[in-house]
Amino acid sequence: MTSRLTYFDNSATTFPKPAAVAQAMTRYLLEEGGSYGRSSHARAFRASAVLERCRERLAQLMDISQVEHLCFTNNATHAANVILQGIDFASPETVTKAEVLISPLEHNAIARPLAQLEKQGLITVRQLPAAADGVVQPDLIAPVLTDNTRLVIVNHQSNVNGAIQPLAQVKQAIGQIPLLADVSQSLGKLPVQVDRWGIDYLIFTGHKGLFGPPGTGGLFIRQPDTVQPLHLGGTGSNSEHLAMPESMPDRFEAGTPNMVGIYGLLAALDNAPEPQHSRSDFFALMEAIEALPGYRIQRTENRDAQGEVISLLHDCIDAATLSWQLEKAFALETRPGLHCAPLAHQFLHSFPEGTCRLSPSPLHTTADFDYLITALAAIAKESGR
Amino acid sequence: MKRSFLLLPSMRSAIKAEAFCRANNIACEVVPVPRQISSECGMCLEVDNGAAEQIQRQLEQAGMAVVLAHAE
Repeated sequence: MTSRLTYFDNSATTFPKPAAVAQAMTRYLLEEGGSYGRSSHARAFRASAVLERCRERLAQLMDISQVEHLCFTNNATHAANVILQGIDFASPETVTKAEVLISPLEHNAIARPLAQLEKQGLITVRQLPAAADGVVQPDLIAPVLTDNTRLVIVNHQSNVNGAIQPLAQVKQAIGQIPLLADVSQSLGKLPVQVDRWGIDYLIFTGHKGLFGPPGTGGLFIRQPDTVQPLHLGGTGSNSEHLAMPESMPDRFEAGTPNMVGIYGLLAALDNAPEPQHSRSDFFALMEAIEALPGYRIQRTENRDAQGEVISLLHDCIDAATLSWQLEKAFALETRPGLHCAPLAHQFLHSFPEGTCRLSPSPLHTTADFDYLITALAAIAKESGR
Repeated sequence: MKRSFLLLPSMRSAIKAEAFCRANNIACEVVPVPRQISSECGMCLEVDNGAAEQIQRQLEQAGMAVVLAHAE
């Protein structure tokens, strides 16, 4: 008998992880050990080499030729803070206040640090032109750029409605203005081509589409001198100097890295799960849900821009109740609310209630989808629709 | 006895240099940076005295920043 996979909260964190992830983490804790760059014994060197192999694999996955410009952080939020708090928005050459343009579907990982900078009077935040589904319209960007536009930020794939943004076209439209891409939701699911698309700054997490453990993530900075390090401390290098090393990746890697997490992340990269459903299966799921009485999905206008996230509303059942009923009666795990993305919900007119988010995993089969549809149908029927 | 060490700016570059040497059958050993050279707490590569300059050139040609230092 095959077991049913009822976990539909993979945009929060993917589950289950490949067994190899847990095995690698256990191996580090019980057998291998060693800290990155902190000692000269063979154990430390082997552990450091594993971390560097993970960095190489990530760079390869994301089309990053400046591998040493890819630094590990605890998560994407940490990475966003390093970059946003490290850029000198008040540099002397800026006569008037710096402007940061963002997509309408940004997560709080970006929105909160920006709100703080705005409160400090350092920046003004404006929204990029976008269609009703939040997909940025590159052709309309040029007129909104000004001499004060210092940064453009785009969430590659929305964690709310799954909208996939045209990063390459956005970069083309903004020219020399730096682009910060948040690939937290897309990495592992969609191609990410940092060099080819001309991305200047990038943040990512390891525990979502990559199937690594929580506590892993990182950033990429094309020109490191544009960002001052947020964290200062030991790097195992240049220890005789009290200033942080200028060399990468050490400039942004103060403190002992999450070695156990990075062992797990490397194992995840080497053991990515085989998809158990196709893209057309996913669209069939969407259509089946939309055919049920009372349900509405916040979907993208263009099918090509639709990532595998379903943000669901019901005419007479609020999102929290729907999510609760799915778990109580059917053991289906989903996430109601704002998904740490109030700006997205405001733009999509689902604020403050939010939606019930169903975020599948590649591991889901069409049988799992059928079970979800059956559950949603039963709840709709119970509601009287 | 004179010993030759190749110093690298970061752990990452030390690992890359060691991997390069291994791939090219160049004998080297990862050792702590000798105190006579630096109070640096990191690692460096000890290489054969007679081949040190040649290895330094090879690593530089492979894009690595390397400093050759000697200690007794």
